[in-house]
Amino acid sequence: MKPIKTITKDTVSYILYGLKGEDLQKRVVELIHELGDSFDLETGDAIADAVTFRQNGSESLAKKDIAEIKSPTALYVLARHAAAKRDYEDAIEHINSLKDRLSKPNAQILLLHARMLTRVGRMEEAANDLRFSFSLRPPYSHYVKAEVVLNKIVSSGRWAPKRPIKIALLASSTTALLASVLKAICFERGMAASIYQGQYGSYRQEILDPGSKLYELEADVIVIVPNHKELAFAPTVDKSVVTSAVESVRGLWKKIKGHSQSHVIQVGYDIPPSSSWGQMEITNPKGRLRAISKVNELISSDLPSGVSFISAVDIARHFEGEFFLKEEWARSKQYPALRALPLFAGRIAAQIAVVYGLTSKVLVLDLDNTLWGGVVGEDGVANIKIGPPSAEGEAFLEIQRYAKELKDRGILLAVCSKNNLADAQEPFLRQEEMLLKQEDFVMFVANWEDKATNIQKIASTLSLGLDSFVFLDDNPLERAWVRSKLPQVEVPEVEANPWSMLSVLVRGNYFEALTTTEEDARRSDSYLANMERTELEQSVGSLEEFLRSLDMTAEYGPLDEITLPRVAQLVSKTNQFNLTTRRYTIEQLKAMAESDDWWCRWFRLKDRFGDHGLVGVLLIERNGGEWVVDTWLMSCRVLGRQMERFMCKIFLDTAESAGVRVVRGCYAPTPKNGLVKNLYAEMGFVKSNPGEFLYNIEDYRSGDMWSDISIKI
Amino acid sequence: METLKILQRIFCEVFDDDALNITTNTSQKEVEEWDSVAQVKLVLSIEEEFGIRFQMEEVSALKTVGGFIEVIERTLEEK
Repeated sequence: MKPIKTITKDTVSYILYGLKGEDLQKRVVELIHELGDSFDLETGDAIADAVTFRQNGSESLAKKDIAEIKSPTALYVLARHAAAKRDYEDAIEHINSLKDRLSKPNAQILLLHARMLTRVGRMEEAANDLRFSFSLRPPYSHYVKAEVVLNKIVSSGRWAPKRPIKIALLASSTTALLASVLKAICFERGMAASIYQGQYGSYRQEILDPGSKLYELEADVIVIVPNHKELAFAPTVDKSVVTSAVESVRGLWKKIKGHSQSHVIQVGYDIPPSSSWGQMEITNPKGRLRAISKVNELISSDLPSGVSFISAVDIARHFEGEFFLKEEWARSKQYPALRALPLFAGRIAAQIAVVYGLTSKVLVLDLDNTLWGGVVGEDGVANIKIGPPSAEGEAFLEIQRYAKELKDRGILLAVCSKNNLADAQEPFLRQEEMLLKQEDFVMFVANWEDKATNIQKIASTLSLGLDSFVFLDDNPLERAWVRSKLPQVEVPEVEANPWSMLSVLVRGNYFEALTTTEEDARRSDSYLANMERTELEQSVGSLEEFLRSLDMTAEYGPLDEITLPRVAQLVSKTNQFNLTTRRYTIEQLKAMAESDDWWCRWFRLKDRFGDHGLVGVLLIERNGGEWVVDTWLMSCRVLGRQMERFMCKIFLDTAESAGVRVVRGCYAPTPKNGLVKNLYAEMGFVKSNPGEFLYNIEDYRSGDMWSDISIKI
Repeated sequence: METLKILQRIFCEVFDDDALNITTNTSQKEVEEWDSVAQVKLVLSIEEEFGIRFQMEEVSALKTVGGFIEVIERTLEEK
């Protein structure tokens, strides 16, 4: 069914307005039908609001009709309906199916899922969902809405935080929303925060009074959030005014240190949104902006121990003049702007994590399309994109530079890639543009095993906890897999383009540190010296359940005008999953396709993450009662998804119904295709000669060996 | 009536209570957790949902669902 873009939340309310009883039910079913596979939450809510409304008797929801549609919107409406009726198991089941149908994780769906899970006491799963939803950096309102659920999870005692933390939040602005978001982001980072909010506008008095509530509390951390309003600087500012502003701030720290053990996190001053003197506020030696910068500079240099500093100006850069919103300030003394709350609170949480040693220590990187553009095993080392002139290549270089700078201050880097080891190493040896070198990585894992197992081995080899790991990968499937297997690992949700990957990584504030030492710079080397870089020998992980959740469907068909160019491209390019590596021109392929002596098929694969396109080719020569597999190749993008077994089953099926006696397959080894060395043996072929395998169709029983393939046609 | 349906969802979300059943007469007295923090959350969620901005003075004193509906519908008309 084609999605109709014109159905929005507003059209739904309009169409359903005033409808009741059967008319309402009928129209709702039609609307869900019309929406097809397209899904947006607002529209789903508008429909669900109309039918789960209690006064109108939600009993009469046409559940059966809706359940038959099975589209994302149908699943969502059913979930909302079940929730309203407190049928939580049912709601959870519908949301699970819905999650599987969405190509991208959705923060609000995750929140709804977490809500339902808390109702049935599945607190740990709820915590994972909620933390994942926060890590997607949704708008501030999401964090605020999630607060009650979060409190329930924390107070259940069934979620084990890395550390409980008592925070005192002192500000010259209102702090209610900042506190909500801060608590949520602390939770995301594994800290259970209880937050004391100081009296609005009188935080100095609280600090100065030794008998104040603030000290009674014995907070772990005191966060001070001032803003430019409090400085009340005129367009020109005398030096003495600057000095006294600085002394006042430092004086408060001294008081705190005198009365408590609390760590202090001082946020710097922001820049006012309007400057009546224009550039003179900077160029004039006494200019206002210059003075504020001076105050920030002086309070943040030579920080005493037990005090950290966060630059508000640095955070404000991301909001283009909308960091301090006059309107929000006038309305409710809100600072920073609501929109800036997640990033702002994120920086504070990151500093708290630093104080308690809860920051990440290892960055695990994928290679293809993460550290360079393209797939080295397929495109060849000469054709991967890294550095100029390609704009994309420059972006990948930026990621490498960022990683290198992390390494230079003591963060460990590791590679985890699905590749032949030799292919994965080639760019490091032969591409001059590569900024990262092999010796920058404490571990270099390139094999065909699943990445969760590999990351676990990296962690145990380095003797570091999984909760200090961040995993960066462009492939949504790999991320989802690692997330589901290793919830302790931070897996930032990125878009498949290098610029987004870098900005998400930076925004995550995973690798904050208080100071850096010479030892940090050498940390990576010492790890390397103490440990031989080992290539991991893996046992095969059980992926079946995960694969089933992917909703994979395959198509295949004979080569024609439309598919020939892509088939020709695969035949000429594919190196790794290619049994014979025979190259044919498009004319040769066309002749084969038209000949009765050949059975030639292309294969496509789709899953819930998207359409992978045409990814496999089979060229089989018919030789009377014997078929010879001349060419069998597949794109490495779809490795590990049973696609090879699916292809095998299809041609054995076809051979069987064509009355063929035996199928002969060949493996012609090349430096690149070691991956498929044992493929025929794994598929049940019997070795007859070196590099030659036979399959006796008499022995072919379609049922048993192939029954667990989760790919549908 | 339609505004009430949308508020029904928002109230359930803010108070994290699926069984909460509101009418135009529902007031602060009947909902235990309806404190000043919840009031802020309600106001922000409603503003976001309807794409409107309230005057702070007119919403801070609101204590019933019916009161919210009145202000929402008035603000929507003025828009």
